[in-house]
Amino acid sequence: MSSGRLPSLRDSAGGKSGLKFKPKAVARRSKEERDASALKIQKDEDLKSKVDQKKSKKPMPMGQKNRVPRYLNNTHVISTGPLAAGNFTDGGRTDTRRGIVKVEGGDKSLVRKGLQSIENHTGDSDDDYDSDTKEKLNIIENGESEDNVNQAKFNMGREYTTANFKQDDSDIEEEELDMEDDAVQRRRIEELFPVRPLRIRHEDVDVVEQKIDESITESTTREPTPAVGILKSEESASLHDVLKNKEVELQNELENLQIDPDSHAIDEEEIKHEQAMLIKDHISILKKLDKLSKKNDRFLLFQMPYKLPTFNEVTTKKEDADVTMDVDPANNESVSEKITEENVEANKKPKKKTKKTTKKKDHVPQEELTGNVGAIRIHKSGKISIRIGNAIMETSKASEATFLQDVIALNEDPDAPGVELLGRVEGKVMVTPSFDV
Amino acid sequence: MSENENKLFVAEEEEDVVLEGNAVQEVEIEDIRMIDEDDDEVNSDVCDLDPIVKEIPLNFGGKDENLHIFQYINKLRLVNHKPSEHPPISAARYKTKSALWEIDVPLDSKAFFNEDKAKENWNGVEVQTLKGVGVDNTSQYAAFMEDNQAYLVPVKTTTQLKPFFKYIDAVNLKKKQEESKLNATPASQRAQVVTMSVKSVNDASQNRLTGSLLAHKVADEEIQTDLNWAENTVSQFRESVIKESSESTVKPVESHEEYINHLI
Repeated sequence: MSSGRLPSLRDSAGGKSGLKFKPKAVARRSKEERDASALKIQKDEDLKSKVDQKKSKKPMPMGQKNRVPRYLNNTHVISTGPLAAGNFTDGGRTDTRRGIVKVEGGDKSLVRKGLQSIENHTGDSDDDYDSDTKEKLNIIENGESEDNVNQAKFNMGREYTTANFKQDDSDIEEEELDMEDDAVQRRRIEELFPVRPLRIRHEDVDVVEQKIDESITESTTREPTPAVGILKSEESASLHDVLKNKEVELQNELENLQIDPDSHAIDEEEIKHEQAMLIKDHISILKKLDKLSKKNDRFLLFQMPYKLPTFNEVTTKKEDADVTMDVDPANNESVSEKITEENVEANKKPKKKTKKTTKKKDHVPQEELTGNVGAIRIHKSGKISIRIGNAIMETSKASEATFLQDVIALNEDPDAPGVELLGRVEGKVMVTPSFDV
Repeated sequence: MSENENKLFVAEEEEDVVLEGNAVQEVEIEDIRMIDEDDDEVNSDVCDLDPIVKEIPLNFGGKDENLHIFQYINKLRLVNHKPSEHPPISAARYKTKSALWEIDVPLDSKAFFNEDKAKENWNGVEVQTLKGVGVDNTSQYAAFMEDNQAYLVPVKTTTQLKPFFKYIDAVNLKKKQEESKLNATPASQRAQVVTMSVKSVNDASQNRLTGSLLAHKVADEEIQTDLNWAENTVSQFRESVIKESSESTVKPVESHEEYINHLI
């Protein structure tokens, strides 16, 4: 009584304890019926289309609306539960070839319209797929593609991968706000069915298996299996020498590659791969930064090291007196650029200026750091690094999220508490201190 | 970057140069202390053999802002390669002490929604409630770009918003109560003796509410604040951050080595 779980199960057990499933005696069907069902497999499409034609010619009288198709005679269609049939006629009102799972409320006009518009546009939406996805789909769709171009269909067999959601959208132009009506509907339906299972029909199983067979069988040849090459006797060179030679070879190779021997990478390939990935990251970050400058409501998250370099606060007025250069105070960037660069010099010279400012004010706590602190630097090689104060940081892309993320500002003012939606998160950049410099 | 690494990525380099477009001006200036007055001018560095072709000034700001990240776990970022529509938000509630967020998203009753059933079984549910707890996220910053400069604003917490089926709980509770009233079994009607004892609060052996239980208790007892949901205020936010950032100047104290030592 206490758990409160599965109340429906318990209820039914208590209420109808005497009931049992009636054992089903299946009568042997007549020959015609057997023939009909046997034919079904090959001529499924034909049969269905015949049914369609019939329907379109003369609408059924009301009483016969619920009549099941002949090939479903003596069969039970399970409409709920894990064994539910995926596709069967929707009360005789829809096109029978459509593979809609019957859903409550699914007969709403919006759904119907949306489905139709999706189906009519399957052609152009497929363009987004990469070629191998298309190939996969062809296995499933090959039988239907030729004759049913005009038929509205809802392809439940379309497979989506996580790549579809993760894909970088930075180069995709966003559509205007005034979308067409059917486009909006299509969008809605797509959101409701973001992932569709891969479905392989009976007819296609053979084809698939054949393909697999073809790919693995290797024709036998009469040639003998290549034997292991006979080792040359290396009596002259001792084991020690061999090892030494190998060591030297390895060192040479490492030198050629200029790889840090402490590097954790296993081989050249891996290093190459890693570098390529980094470059990819940097390109993506650059693209995102570009997008950020175009759109007001987009943000990029930066995960900084837990401790940032220390800064001292300098008031603008004081700075003018200190630097003794005719700098426009409004031109903040150049001022602070100077400060940072000057600090490099200050390392050599006696630290006069720093001393002056430190007297004025202590280190700025990290959470109150305000003003120009450095720069995002784009290198010739495509590498992106960040300079904060005098410290150099490296960047990489954090894993991409498939879900929506918002940046919001909370106002906890007791008089008018509120939340402001500022915009969306485009991605995340990891910033780590560089140990190479 | 070593010379060799440069060799490895000749092809990529060319691609990057194309990507950067007009920003690319390959100028190599030997002296890093030479500073151009103009921000748009390309600065360079003697850092290795990989010169800097472009610098985007990085500013901090918004220390008084109270930024949070919402993660809509049940909402896709991209639908069919396009950014998904933002869910409409009808109400937002917040408990400060427990950092507990609750957000109401109106249900789309136009598709796959049975209004009759909602009215009949679920007290006419109209909104989906998303709930989540804000988790502190130190040294995370939200960046935006303005006038070719980047501005970073610290983020306080990150919240994963998940659907919270309040209406089911409410109905279940009601059902249970009715049930216990109707099927009064002898067991439930039997009088029960409850013994109570008073223990000293200072007793160390006493079980106290800790961890999750305590958090639940605090959250249950806390009064939630109803918040106004505002949109399209981003430009004001940007202006204030930019203004604040331009008014303050900071100067680094440590060199790179000192910083690294400091870190370790």
